[in-house]
Amino acid sequence: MKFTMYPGVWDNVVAEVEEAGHEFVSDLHQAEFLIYAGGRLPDPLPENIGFVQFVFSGIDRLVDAGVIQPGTRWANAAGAYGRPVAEIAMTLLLAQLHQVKAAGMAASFQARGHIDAAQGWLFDGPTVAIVGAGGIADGIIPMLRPFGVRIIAVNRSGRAVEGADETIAMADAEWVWSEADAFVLAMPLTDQTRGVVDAERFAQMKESAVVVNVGRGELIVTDDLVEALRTGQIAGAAMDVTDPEPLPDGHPLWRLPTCTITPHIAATGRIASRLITPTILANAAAFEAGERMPTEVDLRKGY
Amino acid sequence: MKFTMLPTVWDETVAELEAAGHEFVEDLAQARGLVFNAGPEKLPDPVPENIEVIQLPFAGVEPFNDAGLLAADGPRWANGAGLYADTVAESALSLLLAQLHLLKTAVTSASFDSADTIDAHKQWLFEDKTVAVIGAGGIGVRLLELLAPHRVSTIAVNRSGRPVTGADRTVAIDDAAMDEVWATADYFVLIMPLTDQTRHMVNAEVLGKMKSTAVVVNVGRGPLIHTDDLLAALRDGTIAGAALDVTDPEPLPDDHPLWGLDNCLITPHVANTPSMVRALTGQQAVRNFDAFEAGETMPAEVDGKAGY
Repeated sequence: MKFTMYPGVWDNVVAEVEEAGHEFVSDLHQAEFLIYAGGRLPDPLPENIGFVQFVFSGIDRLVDAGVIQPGTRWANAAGAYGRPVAEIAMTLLLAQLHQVKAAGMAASFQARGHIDAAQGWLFDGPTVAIVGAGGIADGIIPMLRPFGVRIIAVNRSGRAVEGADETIAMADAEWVWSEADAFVLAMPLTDQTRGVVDAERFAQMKESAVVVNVGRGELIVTDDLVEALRTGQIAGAAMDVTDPEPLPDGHPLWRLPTCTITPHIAATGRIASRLITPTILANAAAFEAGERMPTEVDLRKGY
Repeated sequence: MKFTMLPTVWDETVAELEAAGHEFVEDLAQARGLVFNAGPEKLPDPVPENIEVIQLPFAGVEPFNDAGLLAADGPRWANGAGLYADTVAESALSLLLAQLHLLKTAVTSASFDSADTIDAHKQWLFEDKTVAVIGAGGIGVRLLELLAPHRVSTIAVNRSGRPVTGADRTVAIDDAAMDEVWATADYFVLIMPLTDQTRHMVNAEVLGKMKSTAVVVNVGRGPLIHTDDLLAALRDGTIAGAALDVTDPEPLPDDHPLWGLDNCLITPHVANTPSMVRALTGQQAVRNFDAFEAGETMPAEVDGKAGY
């Protein structure tokens, strides 16, 4: 198929897609599909564009901005970055349990007693809830396995997630918030998931609970999190995404040793350009065959 | 059997031993076993002849070796080897991941402005990396299990070169092949005991053999690394980073320059902490004392000649 990448062009991705037999054209009006990494698009898109391949997973902002509209088929990167995002989730979980931020802020062995008392462990059998069980869950579950933790997967359908001890449908998961010792939030941002972790949830959680967010900042109500951490309602949080994002310099979360923050470094453009090509090729093949694309966006669901 | 504990009685430890049928006695002269939780200078000199076995809480026994106690005729010794496999392996993986993903930079910058720097310099385990686990005893085997789902290649380094479970290959620490290990592995986790052979093993010469992207994690003993050489290597980019739970000197003074380096993550010796030690030492002493009474080699018996 003829394709273009617009407005930003990733040379290595273009080369890989060409190598697979597709033809790069620089004119948007000649292309049958468009690879899109953000930026301004013509509105409406030319009719020759059969589908748009977005190179990231989260489409909520594109929908809100009216970039994604009914009438054009869109595919996203769902699942493509499961391994890197899972690695970041693992890093954040371990770093928060082991008080890496507290150690970095203290910069002194005098913090030893405090850190010893505050640190948590995976080896002694905690329960970890993975909320939003897609590619990230597939990546992190095997990483958690050798620690001997109990894993509860929470997803929309309740369909069993491989490797989890239990899978619970979101609608039936109320008890999980008070049961788990650690939470990994990895779900897309939709009307159902926005602000799902709020003051009420923090009140349900154990005092020793740690919440990791690698999904979207808006899954958590930030002010409620600040309060929960300040009052010791939960033990810690670790997040690669924030709300607002970027989190402003001077925001109180930066100063809390119980809150590890990385500046959205999991699925960056650098990582996307290295990993996206197989997703593009699979979607193009399905499109050509007249089928639903493997990562085709369902606007009704919002992802 | 009758045992006592010196110089500090840890209630948790005594309770574990009593629950297993051993009897605590106050009087050293009445005991056959001793759980001893201080340095060699506090040990009764000489150790009374009725003491046949001594359990130490930690894996590192070099002060006792240096004092000539281990090789002497007298009681048999057991240490904490293998006791801290879960805790130290978990801490090692935590430190490795935190340094690869530049968490100290994120903490000290406290700003999304650091995103580009972190994105450009961070490293990923998932991209076909090689991890060398140096000192591959119980902790190393556990770490290899934790690393396996990250699909890294692994090199275990031990004294004998005997293949280590879970490692892709094993190299003997005094083998000429170590040159190639320093040059080819991406990341190094130091867990070996501190001996004359391993003291300052990671010095300027060894650091110079490593890739410029190399990251060194130390959860063994501070003096395994020559601190000044590491400082220089981190400053001039000879290697990319280090993550240390143990330091030399320890505690690392508050004004030490390593604290100020973003590419040097430091935790204050918390992989293996006093609260953990008390909880686990009793269980270890039970295993060793039971084997001792049965006339067997103790699971964590110290080899007096080797020094660990």
